[in-house]
Amino acid sequence: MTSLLNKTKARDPVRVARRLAALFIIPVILATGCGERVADSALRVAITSPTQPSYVETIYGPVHYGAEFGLNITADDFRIFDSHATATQTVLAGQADIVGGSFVSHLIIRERGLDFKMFCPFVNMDDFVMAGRNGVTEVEQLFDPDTRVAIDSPGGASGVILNAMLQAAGTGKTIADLPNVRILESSALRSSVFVADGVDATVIHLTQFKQAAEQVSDAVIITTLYKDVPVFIKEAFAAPASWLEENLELAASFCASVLKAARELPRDFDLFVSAVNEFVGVPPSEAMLRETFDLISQYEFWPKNGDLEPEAITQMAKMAVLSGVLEEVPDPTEVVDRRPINRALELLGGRVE
Amino acid sequence: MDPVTRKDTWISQSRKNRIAKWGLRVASFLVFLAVWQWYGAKPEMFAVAPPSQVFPAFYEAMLSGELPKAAAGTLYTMAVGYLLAVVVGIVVGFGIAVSVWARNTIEPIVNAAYSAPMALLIPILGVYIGLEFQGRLFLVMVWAVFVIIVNTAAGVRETPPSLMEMAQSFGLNPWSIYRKVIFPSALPYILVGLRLGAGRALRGAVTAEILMSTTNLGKFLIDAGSTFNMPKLLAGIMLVILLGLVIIQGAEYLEQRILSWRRV
Repeated sequence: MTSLLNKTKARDPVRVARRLAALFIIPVILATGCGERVADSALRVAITSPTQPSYVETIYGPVHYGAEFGLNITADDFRIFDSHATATQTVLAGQADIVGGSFVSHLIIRERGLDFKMFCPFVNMDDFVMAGRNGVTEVEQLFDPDTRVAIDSPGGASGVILNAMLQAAGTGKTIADLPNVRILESSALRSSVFVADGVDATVIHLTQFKQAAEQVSDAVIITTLYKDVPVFIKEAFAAPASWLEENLELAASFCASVLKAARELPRDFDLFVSAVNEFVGVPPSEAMLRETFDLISQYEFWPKNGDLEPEAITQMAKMAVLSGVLEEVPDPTEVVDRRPINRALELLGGRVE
Repeated sequence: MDPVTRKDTWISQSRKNRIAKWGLRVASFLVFLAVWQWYGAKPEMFAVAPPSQVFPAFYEAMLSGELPKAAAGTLYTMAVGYLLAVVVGIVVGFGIAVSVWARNTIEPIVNAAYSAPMALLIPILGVYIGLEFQGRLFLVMVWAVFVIIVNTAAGVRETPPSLMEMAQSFGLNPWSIYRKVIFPSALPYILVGLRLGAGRALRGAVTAEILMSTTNLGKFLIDAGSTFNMPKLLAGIMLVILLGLVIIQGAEYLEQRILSWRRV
């Protein structure tokens, strides 16, 4: 009886109409973007990962030096995501103007048909190292079928970084040639598996390696990104080409403020620490910050002159092709709009050594 | 109205109801596809590819064998982990229901673990079990086991006292009481637990393949996502949803078949 009643209800035209209306209305509400909107501002920035000490200048610069270049921006104008796709979608939906994220991801986005152009790099290097144990101390040993190597998926950072390391070591091989690979997405997981003897070599952060080395007596650094790879562009800001065309001065002001922070923070440890405490959710210990600061200062993790040279772009694109995430090397002049960088350097009074 | 005519009318009505139900389902699906196409085809839309791109990507991935191979690997992990969960879940569930000791010691842990996000275990699993097949199996097992335990324990506790008294008055030994009274009485609860556990096992398997050592469907999704191949990513998600639907519908069907003896 209950079943029959339910069936009768299901055929009730009013109920049917309500259900169909709901099916229409919910996606329309979603599509029109009734969600939270960022406050109106001169510039709204989408960042593809939570702020870390190794790129704190991206937010510190605009917030603290922006006014010098006529930029009206606060920390609330930065929207932090955990995905490049979502951040890019936010820009396309008009909820943000520019997106800061992985250089290689920007190249892939362009290859997928979106006319985004990079206009301001903000991280060149990072503290990634290739760690080894169980007697794995040389790059060539990574190609031994018995050597278990952990990296992330092809589109991830560590795959591209390892390819750069392999190229710099002159092996003539790529990650595709590694015979015994474990795919572990996060560096924290790779680090814990390395400690647990689940792999013999992996790409992790230097700080993670130091923690691992306390428990793994034969842990060694095989190669590093910052010492051994001559050219690398890790992160950059990008925007739709049409937006850049209309907002060149705004993009230049923003880039100038980021470059100014990239010049100022590595000079003063206390300033760096205050920047980290202000913008990084859970700041690391001061000892760890000192290590990061020393690396940033010594190896110029942050581009002070906004260098996005065609040779470097081509080199990075080749690495991405070798990693299997990009189909072909793009024309470097197509992927970068140099006008905001050049104007930013003018605003900053020129290049620095 | 004579009984024959009444029966014919009822059958006719039943058929109409079924047609109306399916009509509504098909119409809803078509409306959903239309809205999806409209939304995904908007020029500013990047993260959501329209079905006109997703279905060809799905077809291509199926034809190349990439998706069936990945799905087979995921289903294998899921099936083995689920079987472990079924064995452990039913045994522990019975134990909690019949043993005061287990009720006081194991049940609070089960209740706490039931509501905890299992992904929290991954860093620990990495150290002690590893992130490969064994680790994934363990994650699938813990993802599915608690719902089976909770339902089994509830079912055993709900055995009507009158049935127990009758069994005892007929002089059945404890083993026969479990086999002929408690188990059949608890079966509907156990089957609900198994059905819910099957869905959770699939979720556990895919989650483990994404968050632990990336492989099978998890790898398919991660690779497509990290290269912004949205049609391929949605094709993978679509397959996971379809698998979930088939597993739950299959479990429901089995549940109805097994419990058919209870219907009048």
